[in-house]
Amino acid sequence: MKAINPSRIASIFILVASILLLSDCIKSEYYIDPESLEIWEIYNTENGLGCDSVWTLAEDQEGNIWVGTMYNGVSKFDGKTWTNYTTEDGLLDNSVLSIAQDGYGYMWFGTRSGLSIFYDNTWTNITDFGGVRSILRDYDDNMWIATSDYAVMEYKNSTWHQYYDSECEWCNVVNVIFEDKERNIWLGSDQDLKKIDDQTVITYTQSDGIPGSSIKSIGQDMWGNIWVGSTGSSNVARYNNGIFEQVALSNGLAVNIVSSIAADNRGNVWFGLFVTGAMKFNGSIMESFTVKDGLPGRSVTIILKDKHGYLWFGTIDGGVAKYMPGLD
Amino acid sequence: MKKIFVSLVLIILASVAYSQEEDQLLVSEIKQSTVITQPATLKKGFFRISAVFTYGAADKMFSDNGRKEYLVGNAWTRSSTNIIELQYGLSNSIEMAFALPYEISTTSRSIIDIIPVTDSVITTARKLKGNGIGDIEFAISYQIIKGTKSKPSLVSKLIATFPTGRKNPSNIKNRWEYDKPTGRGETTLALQVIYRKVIYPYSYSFTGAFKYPFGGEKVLFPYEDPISFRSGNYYEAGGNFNFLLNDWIAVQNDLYYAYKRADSYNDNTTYFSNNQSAIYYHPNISFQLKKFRLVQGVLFPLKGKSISADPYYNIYLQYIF
Amino acid sequence: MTALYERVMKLKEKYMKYHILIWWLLLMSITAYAQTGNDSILLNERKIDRPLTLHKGQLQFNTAYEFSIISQEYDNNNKSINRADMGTASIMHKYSLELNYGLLDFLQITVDLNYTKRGERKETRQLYSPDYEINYFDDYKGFEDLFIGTVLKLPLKSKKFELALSPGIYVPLFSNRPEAPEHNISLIDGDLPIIRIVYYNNHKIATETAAIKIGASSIFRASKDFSVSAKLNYSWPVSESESIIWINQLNGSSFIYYDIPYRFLIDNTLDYEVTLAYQAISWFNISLSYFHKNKSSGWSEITGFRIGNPESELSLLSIGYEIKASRNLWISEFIDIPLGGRNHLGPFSIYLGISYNFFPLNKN
Repeated sequence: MKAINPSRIASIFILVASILLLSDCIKSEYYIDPESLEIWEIYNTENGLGCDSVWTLAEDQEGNIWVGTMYNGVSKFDGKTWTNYTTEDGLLDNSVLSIAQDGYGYMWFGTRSGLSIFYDNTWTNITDFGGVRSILRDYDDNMWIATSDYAVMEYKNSTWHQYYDSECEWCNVVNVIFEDKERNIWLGSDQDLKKIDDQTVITYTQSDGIPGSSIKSIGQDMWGNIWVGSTGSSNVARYNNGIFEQVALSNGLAVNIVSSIAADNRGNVWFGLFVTGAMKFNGSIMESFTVKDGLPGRSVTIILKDKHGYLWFGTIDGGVAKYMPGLD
Repeated sequence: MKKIFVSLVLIILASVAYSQEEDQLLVSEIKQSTVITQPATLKKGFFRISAVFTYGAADKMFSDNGRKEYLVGNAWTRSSTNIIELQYGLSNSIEMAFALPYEISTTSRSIIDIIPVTDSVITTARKLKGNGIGDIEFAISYQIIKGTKSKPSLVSKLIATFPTGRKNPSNIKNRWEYDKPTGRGETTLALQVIYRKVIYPYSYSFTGAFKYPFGGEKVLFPYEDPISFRSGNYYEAGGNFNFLLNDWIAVQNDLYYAYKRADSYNDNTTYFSNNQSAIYYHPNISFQLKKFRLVQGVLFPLKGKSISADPYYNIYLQYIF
Repeated sequence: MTALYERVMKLKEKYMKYHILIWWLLLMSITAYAQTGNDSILLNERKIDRPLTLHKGQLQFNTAYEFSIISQEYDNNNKSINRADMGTASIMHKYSLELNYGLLDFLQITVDLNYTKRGERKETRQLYSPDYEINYFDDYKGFEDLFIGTVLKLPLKSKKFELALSPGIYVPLFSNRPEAPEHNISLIDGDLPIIRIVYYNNHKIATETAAIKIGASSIFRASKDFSVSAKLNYSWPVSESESIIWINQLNGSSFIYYDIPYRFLIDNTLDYEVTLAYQAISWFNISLSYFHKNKSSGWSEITGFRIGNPESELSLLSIGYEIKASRNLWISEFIDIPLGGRNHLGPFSIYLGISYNFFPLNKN
């Protein structure tokens, strides 16, 4: 039998090794460089934001972030530059309380004076309903607005429909409109919480477990629970299967204003609070996030989760922060 | 995990049992006494001095129902006992021993206090140390049946420990920072009986032991009053099987069961302890070069209840003269 | 490939409980037929004289136990962090089994399997109003990816210098999906009741990623009793992999769990080792080694964002010895001392290895 030539085997090994090494060099992947990772990115008037006092945030279909400010209109961020719109450009009022985009791509801005609709550099202003506190685009592309003079209005099939509670005046002061994954519409007002399921309206009050006096925020977590935040309580409420359970905010305050609720992609629920920043609920405990952790201001007015999973925090006096959750 | 461990043991035993080592084991005449072949007690006039180092870290416990669980709290405890032991052959059948231990133990903890109302985060690191002389030990061994090349030996050993180690917490800074005791705080008396048979190049033995503590009084935790106590009686039974790999390397395998009754704290129901038990496997490998001997081993708790489940590493150096 | 992998996994599940018996019987049958012929090579060959590959027909079983104390960690600035003082040190147990066989005098095959266990604690957190004590515990255990490789010794004329190449692959035989966590919550009564939560997370060691490794090793016998050897290895993944992360929700006094998949790519690894060895006596060899490892270019989407793994490094000094207890049985012991690193744990390890060598099939 012919002896096996080690040189030949060695050559084959070297050739195969070279090909394998080369295959490794060809492969390349995009990822965030951990060395340049910015967990918190702060945007304020120093780097282009129109005003450091922020009321609301929204994301449009192109991924632009829209910031509604208290005194200087609305600012749009495309990831690199800021563009500001004020009354000088056609905006109805420089105090912008809510923002949403409809199914045609029009931007709806709820202001203290009314509704301002923007598209293709054209503004359409509606003052019939008074101030607009909250705007929602539902799954069917209908638009819902919470107004100061006309309770809740729904724009459906080019027609406005009004939702008015004739038995409870304060229930018509709606602060937040929210749609859950089951397509129920939730209305949080100064007096109660309403759930609109098809044509059925169910009303919940403090006796059902709603904390505080005035509902300011509603959200939904990955488990399907509905979260309700209000004014005047040390708790928030978690709703599941018809039952409200109160969960302590654990921030040491007996009275809170829960301005906003958002869920990140890892099962955590975030609560924006006045004075104490934000609290993160991981399913069992609350953890505090303040200026020391990177928030630009003490009072958080709005939390928005964008399509990439980043959390945007709007504050009363510190501008906006873009946060990458999961690295804390 | 256990399956892998048993596999390793089987492989080692098989490889040794079946390896063709007759010509590797040199001559039938023993050139030096190893742990396998040494007499059961030192011969008259001989001294043996040993320096022992042991090390262990607290990582796992056997719970009350025998389940092995991690210690999940934030604490890192490492402890080491270093012993100087002197043995002397009073006669060919009687051996005396004296051991002086030095204990080194440290427990570290770190706690983060989060106080949202003041927006403060405070990290506190605490350390408990227990360094110092431990309880000294005297022992006297008597060969009831003198072992020879063909006959087994039977040895009885009486061991007394005296509470020379610090028994109370000291250097107290606060409830969580102080120096831990290094001694048990009581006198104990133990009787051990060892039956050994040497069948060159193997040996085996059976052991039984009983320890009786006499109790004492000590402070258990800082700022508290001394309390009368008595440790539970201790029982041990087991055996070992040893073999020579060659003239100067020996492998020892100890397997034994230990049981300790719960400690009692007189007239006090605040403190509580459980009965403890464990099955231990203690392999050692010993290297002998003339009068020097180096032994390394690990004590593995295989099963147990209310007792540490961590292995304990030991190394000792002996010199006989 | 997938069908073969599934078949192997099914066989593994079916026969796992018999594997001890199989190993034992295999070993018995092999040793029963062992011949004395080439054993004389093993009898007379000192460690320093051993070639880089096994002799033709030589079968080698290597088992080892490694005990590591991880009491320090290196941060991104190469600074050592004392984990012991923080109460977050840990212990790692590693069990290794390696099988080598000399197909030819210059060609050897290797199969290597490791099992690792480690429990890691984080700092306890205390929250107030209500009072919580929160402990975090991560349980890492499982088999590493199976390695199958070859070693080819190059046909150099010199007896003083040898060079070998060693390509191999990591086979994703074991799952990387961790079991659901075992969190628990309890109320501790006292003057001030405290709610104690233990977040107990499980992790697997295997990456379930196919990877390729290529390496080279060399030895230079400077004198009869002194040698210098070097090894270099580079490995990289063949493809991305997927695993899961668990999120939890407290429901009354019990936790419920939900898993979220994420993708990741393991790092490329480059490691090298330089060893100085001295043959003190024919059966006793001592060595001093410097080992360095660098890992980079991996990423993970465990946070929901594709973030690159920070580049990590580790340097170790290894001191040890090997004793030839018999012609077939070699015992080695090493201590690894961490010298420095970056984004890496710094383990102090004690390694005890036993190597059994024989020629099961050759006659002489």
